Amino acid sequence: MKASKAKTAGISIVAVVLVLALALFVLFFTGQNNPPLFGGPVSVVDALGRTVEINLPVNRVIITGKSAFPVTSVAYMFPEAASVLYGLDQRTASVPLFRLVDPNIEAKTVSDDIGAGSDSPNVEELAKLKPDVVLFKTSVKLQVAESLEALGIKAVYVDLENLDSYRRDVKLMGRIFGNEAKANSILSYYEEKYGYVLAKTSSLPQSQRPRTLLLFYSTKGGTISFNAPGAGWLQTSMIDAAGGYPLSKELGGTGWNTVSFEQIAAWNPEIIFLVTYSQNPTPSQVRDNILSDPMWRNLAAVKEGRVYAVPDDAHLIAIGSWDAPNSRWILGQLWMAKKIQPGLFADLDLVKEVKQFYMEIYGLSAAQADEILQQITGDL
Amino acid sequence: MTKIELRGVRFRYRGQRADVLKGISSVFSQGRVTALLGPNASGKTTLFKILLKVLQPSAGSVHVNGKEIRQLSLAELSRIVAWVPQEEEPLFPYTVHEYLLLGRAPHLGFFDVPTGEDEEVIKRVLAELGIAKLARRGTMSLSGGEKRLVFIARALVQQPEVLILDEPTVHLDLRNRALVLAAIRRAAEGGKTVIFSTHDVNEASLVADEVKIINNGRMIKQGDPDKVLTEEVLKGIYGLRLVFSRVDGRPIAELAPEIFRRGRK
Amino acid sequence: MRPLVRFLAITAALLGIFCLSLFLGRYSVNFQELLSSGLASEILFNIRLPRILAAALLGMALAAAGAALQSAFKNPLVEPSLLGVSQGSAFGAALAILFFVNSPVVIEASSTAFGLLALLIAYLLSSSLKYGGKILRLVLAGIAVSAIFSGGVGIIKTMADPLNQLPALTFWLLGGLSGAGWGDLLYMLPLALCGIVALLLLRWRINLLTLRDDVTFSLGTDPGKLRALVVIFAVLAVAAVTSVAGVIAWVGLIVPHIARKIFGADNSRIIPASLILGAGLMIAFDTVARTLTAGEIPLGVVTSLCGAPVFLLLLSRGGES
Repeated sequence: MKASKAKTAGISIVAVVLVLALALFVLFFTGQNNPPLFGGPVSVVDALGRTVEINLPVNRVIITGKSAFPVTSVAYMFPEAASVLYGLDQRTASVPLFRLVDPNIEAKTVSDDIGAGSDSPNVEELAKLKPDVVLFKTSVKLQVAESLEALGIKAVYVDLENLDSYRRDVKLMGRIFGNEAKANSILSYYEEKYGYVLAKTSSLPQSQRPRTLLLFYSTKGGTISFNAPGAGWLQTSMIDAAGGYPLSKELGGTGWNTVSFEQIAAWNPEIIFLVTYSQNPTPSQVRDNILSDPMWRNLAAVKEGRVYAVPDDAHLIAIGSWDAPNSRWILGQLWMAKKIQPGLFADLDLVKEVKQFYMEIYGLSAAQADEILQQITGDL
Repeated sequence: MTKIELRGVRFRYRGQRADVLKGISSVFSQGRVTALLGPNASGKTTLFKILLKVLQPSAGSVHVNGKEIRQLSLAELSRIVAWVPQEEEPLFPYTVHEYLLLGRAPHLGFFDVPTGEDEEVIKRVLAELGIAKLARRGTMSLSGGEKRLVFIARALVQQPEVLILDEPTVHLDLRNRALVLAAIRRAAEGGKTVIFSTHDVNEASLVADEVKIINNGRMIKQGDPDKVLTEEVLKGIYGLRLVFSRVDGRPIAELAPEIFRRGRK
Repeated sequence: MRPLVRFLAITAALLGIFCLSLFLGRYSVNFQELLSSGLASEILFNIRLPRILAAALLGMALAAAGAALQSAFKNPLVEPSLLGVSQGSAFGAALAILFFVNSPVVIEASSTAFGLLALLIAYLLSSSLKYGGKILRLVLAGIAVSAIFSGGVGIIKTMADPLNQLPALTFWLLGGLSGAGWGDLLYMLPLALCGIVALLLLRWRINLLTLRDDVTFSLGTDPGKLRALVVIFAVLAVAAVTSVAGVIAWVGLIVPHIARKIFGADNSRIIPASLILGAGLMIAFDTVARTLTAGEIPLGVVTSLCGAPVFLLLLSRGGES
């Protein structure tokens, strides 16, 4: 008995060692089998107009700081991202889409101490991770990048806040990942879909554009507040492109503006899109509350039942909502068009489009795309 | 009649090594004016604070109307003893009338507001002191002498049995000094016990019925001005030679002229 | 009775502002519509009315507390934030926003609790300071506690999720009544009312605190105890309204000064006058905050913007009446 037990143990140890060796071997060679298209230094101009010299190929890229999610969502559109991304925060790593694109994502997370979500991540913590390049959203302070440069670490800013910066930043990331072809194919996909929507809506006169309001419902700060995007924000231009009249465009500048119910009533929107960026309450719960609230009953959108929760495929754990400036805004654009102008977009099969997006852009299999589709929250 | 009696009162400020008051026993009688004389830092202010129950004696006891002060509530005590500080600058520019109403606090309940009855008291006190015309003036626009009279009025509005004044005539011109001292005498004749501190030996001699000299925390001499204000006693305190004369049968002391002559040369 | 006439005048002004505010808003309501449209009456009675009442309560609490604290600390420049109460409340709310994002009750309770805690710390700290008199020590301790709590708020800000919590936090810190409904009003009413009524009852006695402490003693009142009582009730009222409305500056400072311009120095008139003027002024400020632009202007911004010039005007016309 004893001897046989020892024997089994010995065999299992050998087996484990063999498996580990094999795994390392495979890892090593998959790494070797994926050589960059070209090497050497390349200089890029980032979203802040800074010129950054980058040595290709990059082996370790960190995305962190305030609003890292949109940047990550764009980065993972590039197949190279799965092998070079590192230093992700727990929240980003738990997004189902990313887990499918990068099965090893869990191993790439680091403690939030490096400054996840902060506009000034900790330079020393970042340096410890020895990245080649750090990607920041423009909401991170410039001093952080300057300090990193002083340590010989390249920092590149992307913005993604509007169509133009989206184009520029996808190209920029294509150069960093050494895959400009992918960048071009991503962009042509976006241009095609966006052009498809615009072609149908751009000539719509004001009278045929439903008064549309996107509301960010927040219970934070102790009181319920409704917030609407200002004229300069992506959500506003998305509604416009989708053939609606974005009511909140009279609000100045960018950012969320708190609006009272009274203001909403004065606008009397015909269509309301809801986001909460939170799991409690979800946009769908808020939609139900609004539809059953006697006060809201008097609004045109509620009377006609045109109150929609904006879809989200990231389980609402990050800003995965389709209205936000992350990779899926194009899905949000299509979705909004269908909700605002159902007649014009009767032929648009949204489910098919969404599935195609995951497969074409993120390289998911049909089964994986279906898996994500199943998990989408909101009124797809 | 005994109004206030101190029995072996000692006091030491927290954290200090020496007693400020080193066993004071003394009696203040009703209807009499007592002048408390003593050099700076002799313990006069501390003694007053003990009489007002702002400070508690470390040893010994104080009796007011035969009752131990500890057994009197602040409100009860304030209906017996009133206090006139040297200087008092209220935060806000009250009118004299509003300021005097505050003197009614001892007679009002915690949440009460003064009534017509209290206004009557104020009118009476103002008339007694001959300053009725000040009632609507702002306290901050008063002259030094008017101010001092208003302070006294505020204490009298309390309708106390005992009036304690801290150097009531300091900084005053002769006319105002006369007004204040007359008010003090009048209060005593009205049956009040008056205690005032002063550095002026002659003021004590002329106005007080009794003089108490406090020095270095001890009551070194108390009694009739004639008995207390002697060359020997004063020299012991101030270390100076004084020249004595008499006015109205009371001793008057002045610094001996050779002190200045020495300075002139 | 001239003061009586003046009281009637400011009360009439308050009622005027109240009615005007009720009919001012982004959504235009007129009588005809009120009868015909359900939405108009909903807006009037369930949106505007509770908000106006909340603004009135907020103004009353801040102004009465300001008046009382100015007397209690013998300093006409004191306002409720001086003792660290506002910053403590802000910290409590920020902490709650960070950990219990969706629970208004927790946020408000935490805010009230930390407001009181800040006062307690300031008080304990003041007794261990070895500088200046009692009141100066308390003020210094209050400044220190304020700084510590506002530092804490700063730390929480950097920890807050920028898209979710930070905007909520920022808006809360700027202060405002957007979204204040009957529920919020009911939440702050008991504590605020308790503080206000107590200050109103003590209105005359508070005067005693403006005298020298030994004189206050001689008038039968222990200044330390009375001061503590006044401060506790003032803080209670302030913490209650701050927990809903956030940090609102200046009103607690300027309203008592305006009241003194009209009614003189006596707190038995200043406290009631501050209540009326505070309510009217805050309703006016909040009406501006909610009607001027389509987006809400944070109330704290409006009060600072209007309050500071008014304060300068009051000071430049200085001297007593």
